[in-house]
Amino acid sequence: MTSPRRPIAFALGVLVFVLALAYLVYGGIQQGAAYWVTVGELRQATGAAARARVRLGGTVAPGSVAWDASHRHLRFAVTDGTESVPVRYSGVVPDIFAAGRQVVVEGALAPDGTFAATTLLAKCPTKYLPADQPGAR
Amino acid sequence: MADLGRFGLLGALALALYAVAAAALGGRAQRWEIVRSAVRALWGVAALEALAGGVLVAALLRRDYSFAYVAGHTRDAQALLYTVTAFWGGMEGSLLLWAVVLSAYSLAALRSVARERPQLLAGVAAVCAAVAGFFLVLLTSVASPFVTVPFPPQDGRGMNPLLLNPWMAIHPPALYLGFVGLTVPFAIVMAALWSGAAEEAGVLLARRWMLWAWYCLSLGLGFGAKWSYVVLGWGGYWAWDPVENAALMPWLVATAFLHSVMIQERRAMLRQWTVVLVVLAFGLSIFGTFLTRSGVLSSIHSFTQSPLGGYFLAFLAIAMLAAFGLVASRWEALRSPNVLDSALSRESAFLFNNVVLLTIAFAVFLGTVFPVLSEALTGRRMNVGPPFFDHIVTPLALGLLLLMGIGPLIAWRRASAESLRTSFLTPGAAGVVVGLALTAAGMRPPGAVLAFALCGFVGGTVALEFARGIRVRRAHHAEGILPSLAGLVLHNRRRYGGYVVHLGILLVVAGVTGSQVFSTQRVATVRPGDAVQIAGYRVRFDGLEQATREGALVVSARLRAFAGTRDLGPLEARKNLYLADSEATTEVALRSTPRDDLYVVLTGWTAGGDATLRLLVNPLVMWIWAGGLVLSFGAVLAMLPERRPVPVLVEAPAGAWSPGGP
Repeated sequence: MTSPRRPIAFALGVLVFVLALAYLVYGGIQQGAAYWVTVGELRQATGAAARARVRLGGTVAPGSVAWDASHRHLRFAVTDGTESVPVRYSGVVPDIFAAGRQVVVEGALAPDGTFAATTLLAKCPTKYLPADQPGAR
Repeated sequence: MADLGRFGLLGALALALYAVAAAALGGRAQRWEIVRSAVRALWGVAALEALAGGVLVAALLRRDYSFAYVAGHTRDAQALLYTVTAFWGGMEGSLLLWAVVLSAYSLAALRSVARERPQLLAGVAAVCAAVAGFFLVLLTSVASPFVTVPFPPQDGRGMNPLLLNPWMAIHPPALYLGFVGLTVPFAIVMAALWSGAAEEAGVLLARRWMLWAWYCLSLGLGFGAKWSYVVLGWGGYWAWDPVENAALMPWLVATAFLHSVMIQERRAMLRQWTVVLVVLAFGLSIFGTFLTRSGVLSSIHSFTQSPLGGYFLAFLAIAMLAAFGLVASRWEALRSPNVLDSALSRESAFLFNNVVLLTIAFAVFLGTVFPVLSEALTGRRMNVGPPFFDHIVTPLALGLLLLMGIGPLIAWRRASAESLRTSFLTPGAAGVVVGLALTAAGMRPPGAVLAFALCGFVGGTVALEFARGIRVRRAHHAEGILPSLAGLVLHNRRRYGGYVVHLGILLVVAGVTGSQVFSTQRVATVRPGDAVQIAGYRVRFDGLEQATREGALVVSARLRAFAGTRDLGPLEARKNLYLADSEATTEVALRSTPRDDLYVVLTGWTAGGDATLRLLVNPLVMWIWAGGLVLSFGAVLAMLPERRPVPVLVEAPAGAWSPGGP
């Protein structure tokens, strides 16, 4: 890069910039970060860890999908094959959501043991393959 | 037939490997007949890849389900258009498209290099052949589009219905034209560094290719956003999805390059930096292809399961090590004779612009790889969502907008207080007026007021630049304002094309601000005859309808929109249920005006005929698409060849402003 005439001012400028960026990144992580957990890990979590905002990945348990009468609130269970967690969600349901599909829900465990999800992502890994195709991961 | 495709790709791989060796050795030994044989081998690569591509297209058109790829991506009922676009609907086909596009670009680049910088021919051929070789290795081993099955199914599986949309048909090729286009500037710059001849590192020749790649990436991003908006039915156009970020990062770096190259051209400064940008843009294009194709990040599985991931990472590591090693070895030769004279100068405004663009790219990168990074550092996988990106990118984008208004006006080398006053009075006033007017009109969110005020400032800058240019022209020619404007733009296409691109960006920024800050949303369950109020609109639900169309059960909600008492006509929100494979797609009821979009999604219904609707009013979304059009127009203008050659490395006197040049 171009060498500046006043190296101290330049270094100060860089320092201020880096600090500002670090501050932004820190704020961003505070706002948007969530641990990724499996159903088993969530089941075993206790205390504060059990109430933290997390991303839960798993499969929609077959036969668990239920809408309320107005079709606004969705309930289903996410399973890892052995254990499962009930989930409630109201919001945009992706078109590819269905029983047996892999989903990622973001939210926190409510006191009643239901996972209150604020985001629901159905997995469509490449956007180009049907999610249940063998090639899709 | 499949054998023909397979052998075509194997032959292309052999020729590409020969071309790498012949170009590298022939170039080193200055044996030009060997270099020419490498170029001929690249023609062979292109021909054999075209043959393989032809085999795949033919198989798709004949719906030959003995090809696993064909069976996986089309079916009898799929429309002809989408049978063709199935070519890039899956991983194997899109990698083949990558290879075909790269070969076409390589041949075009070799032609122009042979004409303008023949000493770079060997290097460009070697790099292009090496990249082609990598993709051919994938295509002949882990990602072959020509895998056959012994017992072909009666019918194929077809593409995911979400992809059966015109925007999705053209989005991947546009993006790939951009991604692959970043290989050519990389090859040119590497060749220049390798041959050791050029202190400007071939960057000026690379500039045209970078502009083309940037243009294609812009189109790809725009098409993708449009698809997301009209097809996914969530009301937005950008979700900070890893796949979107994959295309945004090289776009940001290419944007930085297009600005820093102007400083290099005018003042011979930032040369090391510009070269680094070219390498980064290429690296990010490979990384982006890897992200979109390996499923590392959107997947909750570890990426060892994807054989492709390892190949991509290995290639990326080797390419980046080699490239940065070469750059480091030429670092001193690239050092600029000039230094930054003052922090108040156009050079420094451009430098800041580059720093901010790269910082945004870095933040996007950080957020995108955060799950992998946190797993490596803490052992626990952590994810950051859209709030992370919004939090970091918004202030940086506003800073960038400010620089966009400053850069074109501030003087080269050192700006005097006097010149600052005369230059910034009008645009600054425009920004202040916009800000005050919006506040007076009742707009409260400070971020939005600031964003629109900055748009006013940048708009003022662009208008002032046009006005100054026209005034200078009219002082020399007797002509009207419109002919003068046309003459100005046509004689300085890069400069004024660039300003038109800035106007397009302004429209996009205004549209994003309007729709992100002022969007309103309601979910309502309605009986036939009920109406829902939302943001000045009244939407009446007139009942459900059901029909069968192309293998799908189509449920439509008949709607009628009103603004006050004015009847805006009927709308239809649909859900298509594909019974065969339990897929569903949404068709949004959308009424767009420059003021706002009324966006209604049918999310559910009951047997009694009630419907649950999700209604959104998104202001200014149309400005985003309009901005894309303006941006395209500006980019095309800037890409048209200049009528007269621009003198290179002119020393601008301090404080100079001239109507010509960049």
